[in-house]
Amino acid sequence: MTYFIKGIDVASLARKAADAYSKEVELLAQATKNCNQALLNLEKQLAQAWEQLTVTLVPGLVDEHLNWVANLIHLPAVAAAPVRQRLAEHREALLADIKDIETDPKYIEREARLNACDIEISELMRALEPLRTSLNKIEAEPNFLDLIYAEYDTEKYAHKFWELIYYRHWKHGDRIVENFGGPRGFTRFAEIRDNYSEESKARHTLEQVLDPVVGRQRHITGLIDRRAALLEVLENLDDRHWAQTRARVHEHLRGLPDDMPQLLASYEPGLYAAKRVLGMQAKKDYLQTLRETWLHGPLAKAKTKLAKAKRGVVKYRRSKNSYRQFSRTELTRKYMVPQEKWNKRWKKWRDAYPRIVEYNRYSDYDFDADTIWWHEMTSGRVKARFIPEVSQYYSNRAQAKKAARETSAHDDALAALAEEALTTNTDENWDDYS
Amino acid sequence: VIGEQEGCTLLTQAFSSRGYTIKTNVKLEFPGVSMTADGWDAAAKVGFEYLTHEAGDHLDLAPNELTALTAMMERGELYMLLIDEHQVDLAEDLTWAAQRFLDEVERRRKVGGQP
Repeated sequence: MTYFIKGIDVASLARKAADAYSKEVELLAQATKNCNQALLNLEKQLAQAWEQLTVTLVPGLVDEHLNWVANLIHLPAVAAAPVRQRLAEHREALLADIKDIETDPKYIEREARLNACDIEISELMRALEPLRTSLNKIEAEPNFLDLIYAEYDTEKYAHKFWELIYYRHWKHGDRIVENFGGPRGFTRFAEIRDNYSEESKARHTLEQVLDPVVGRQRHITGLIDRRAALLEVLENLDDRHWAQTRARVHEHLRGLPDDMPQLLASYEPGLYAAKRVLGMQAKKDYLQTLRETWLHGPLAKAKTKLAKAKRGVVKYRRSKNSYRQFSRTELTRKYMVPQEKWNKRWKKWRDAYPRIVEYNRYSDYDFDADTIWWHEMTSGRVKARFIPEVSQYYSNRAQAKKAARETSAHDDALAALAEEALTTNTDENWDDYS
Repeated sequence: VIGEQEGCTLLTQAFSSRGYTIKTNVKLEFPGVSMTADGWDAAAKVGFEYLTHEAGDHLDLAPNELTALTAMMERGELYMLLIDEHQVDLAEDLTWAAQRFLDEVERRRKVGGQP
């Protein structure tokens, strides 16, 4: 038997669904914003942690220390010899560049040459500036250049008296003569044109003379600036190479996250700093994946559903639909809100997200123990199996416990089951509530 | 921009104020030219044509017809003020242009000995 529902009641269902989706969209958007901010903060902390690790490993350019760290992390490029060689080559190149500048006659005679340029530029500008002022003013006058291009008030002017444009040009020409001709006694546009032409040529000629002088001046100031920059680099050369060496160590270790604990095992401060780096990196990876699975995906779906529900409100309220009968089963299913599924997802989010964000006991992490950062951060309260590392870890643990149950005494198996029950969520296989 | 209708009214007033008897939409046939003038004084052979894209006037007055028309004006056989609508911004400019055009017509007719 089929039950029916009136369109107006379907609209009411759609409105309720729209309200629920709207609220969910708002919650997801706010959580995304918070998560983005947490990731930004984490990015800064991670950069600081790397800085701490590399400074711990390379506290300065001391040969003995450089050789030790090169051996420790298997990176010969940061041993004393290559570091010293790069530093020496760099110093040599800098000194050569500085010498080139200092032996350049343009640099040697820089003061005299710059003075000469200044004088020449000043003289040229004295003539050029009034021209530029005058020409800029008339060129900015509306229609002036149109009249110039139309060759108004010359024998070449092509427009005839029966064309309206002839009178437009006439009017503009008169206005320009009135505005610009008076002070110089020009009564015709042709005189203004001739004067403009002469001033334009003079400006062009002066600029052609000026440009190379300005070029010479810039070249000399460029030499002075470059020499100052090279001297500054030379002065801070050790610091630069220290930073470059640390950057090499960073690049090297960044590519070896799994080997880092073993490489640094014998150096406690390095291991401590590495735990911070690896813990923060894991935190960053987890947050990005959680954001994608529990926020971005659900947000996109909720937005789509919200739009559909809103359209439903309009559609079923229309007069042609409002008292029409529709299938109750079909439309109730269509506008059913998966609130229970959302609640489960939010519970998982609340169980996992704050624990991961707030986790800071990096030094407690034991590389030799059978654990992963996720387990340490969440205490196993949530098992986000959409993260391969997490899925693998908890699968291995479950298998190990199963094997233990099969081989151990009955009491041991019961104990293992009891522990599993403590850490296993009943929704274990439903981590992705998107 | 002054539209064709307003422009034609202004021009009719300007031409009339100078003693011309302007009739609107006058069919004209000259050697090589067939057109409908927006304003025309048949006795004085003086008028105006408002060229608008919208009204299709540019199509009505083909390039060869325009050449023939200007040749007649060069010879002083008739005078027709040609207005491109895109060149008219102010009513007073249009009236001023019409007055200067008629001044030139009168000057040429005096020089040429025509009435």
